[in-house]
Amino acid sequence: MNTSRRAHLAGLLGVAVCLTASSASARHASSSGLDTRPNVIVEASVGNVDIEVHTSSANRVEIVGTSLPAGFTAKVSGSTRRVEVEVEGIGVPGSGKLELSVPKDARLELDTRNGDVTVHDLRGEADISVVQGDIAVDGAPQHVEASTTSGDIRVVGVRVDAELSTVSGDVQVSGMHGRLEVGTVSGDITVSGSVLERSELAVVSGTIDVHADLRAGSHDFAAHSGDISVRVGAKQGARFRVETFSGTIEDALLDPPVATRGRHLREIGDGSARVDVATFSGSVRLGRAK
Amino acid sequence: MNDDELDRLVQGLPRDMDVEPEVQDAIWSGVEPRIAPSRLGASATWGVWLAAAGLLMSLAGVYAATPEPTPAAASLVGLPQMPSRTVPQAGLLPAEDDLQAAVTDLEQAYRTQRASLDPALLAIYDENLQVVGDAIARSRAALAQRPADPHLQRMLRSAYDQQLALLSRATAPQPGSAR
Repeated sequence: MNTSRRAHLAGLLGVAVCLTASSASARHASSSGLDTRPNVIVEASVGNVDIEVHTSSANRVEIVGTSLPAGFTAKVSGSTRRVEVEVEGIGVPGSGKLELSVPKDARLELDTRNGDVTVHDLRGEADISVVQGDIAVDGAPQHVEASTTSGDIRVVGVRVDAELSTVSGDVQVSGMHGRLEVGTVSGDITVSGSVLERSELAVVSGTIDVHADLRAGSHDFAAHSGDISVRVGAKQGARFRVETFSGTIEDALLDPPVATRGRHLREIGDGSARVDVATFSGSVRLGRAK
Repeated sequence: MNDDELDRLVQGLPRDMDVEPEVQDAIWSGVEPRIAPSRLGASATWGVWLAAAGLLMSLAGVYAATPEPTPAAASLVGLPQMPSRTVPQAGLLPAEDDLQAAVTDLEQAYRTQRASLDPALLAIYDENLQVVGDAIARSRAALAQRPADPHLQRMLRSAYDQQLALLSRATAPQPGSAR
């Protein structure tokens, strides 16, 4: 290589370095997509990036938007049955957002370390795992399994079953019809406007507030120091067994309400749902939904 | 533990802990759901964490010989201090020794991994381990006064389940890592 050619290449390299440095904090977009089956499995494990998923009637998985640090790009690869969404670059992106479009009946397997995951109008299934971040799923998903350590979980419209867990975040479930299992240590659990076929809700210091139609089957609600409130409709049939070591029990299914301690048994309607409510020091209230 | 092993343990209980059949049924109704596979399916989230606990119990043996920094040493090197270690106590539940051994193993693994955890996350784990530890201590104190109380046994067992699930989560590989 002669001297002038070497100098020319060095100059080009210098320009490239300058351009890279000047765009270090810039964001850029990339997109790609694949045609798939309606019930395609979509996997994404993306470090510290928010994930937002939209669904459509098209049988296609597509990256519809990204906001990633310079040096990182997102791409879709795989087959019609299984698609993997990857963020490529050196190391793990410290922040950013990935927007996907997937078929309504897709099965999502998503995880991120520090980031929120939001899924809109899903009809398929979602298995979502986050360390620090919120999880939200709506639509009419058949199955939702969601786990986060410090974020909140909000799930709407589940049709078959949901298994949700947090350590310190709150869990909100609404408009679901099916089986529900929720566990949290210090977060609060709220279930509203739902039909539960079976349920198991457990907290330690958090609270449980259930406003639901409890179908025949077992329903276990347990808290240690947190309070539990169960509100049911006028047509609810159930056998309640409430027990607390040092908390109070208020049975507002009776008029006037009765306050008691220790163990309380109560049957309403046909007694078809078996509802077991237990606390150590938390208070319990049974009542009618307004 | 299978049913036969549990029956043998129950048979071995001192006679002054014997209870009426209906009370035994009540105890079992509280205990069974906690030791049986989840009624919501084998993939239930908390079940997965408990299964992970079993795996980690064996892995924790690898860490057992690792010296643990004293609270003072941890403070000197800038490590947050985790809640106090679980001290094994006389069994108030069937197989409580096994539960405490599992907790101790996972605590050891957690101590080993603390330095690699995000400080904010570490604070959340520590705070919630303290919450669960307090729940266990209160349940044990009450159960020591009323050892045949099925409700208190259920509360204690539930608190242990939460502690194992939390420690398993804290020591499991974190989501979001590259595949």
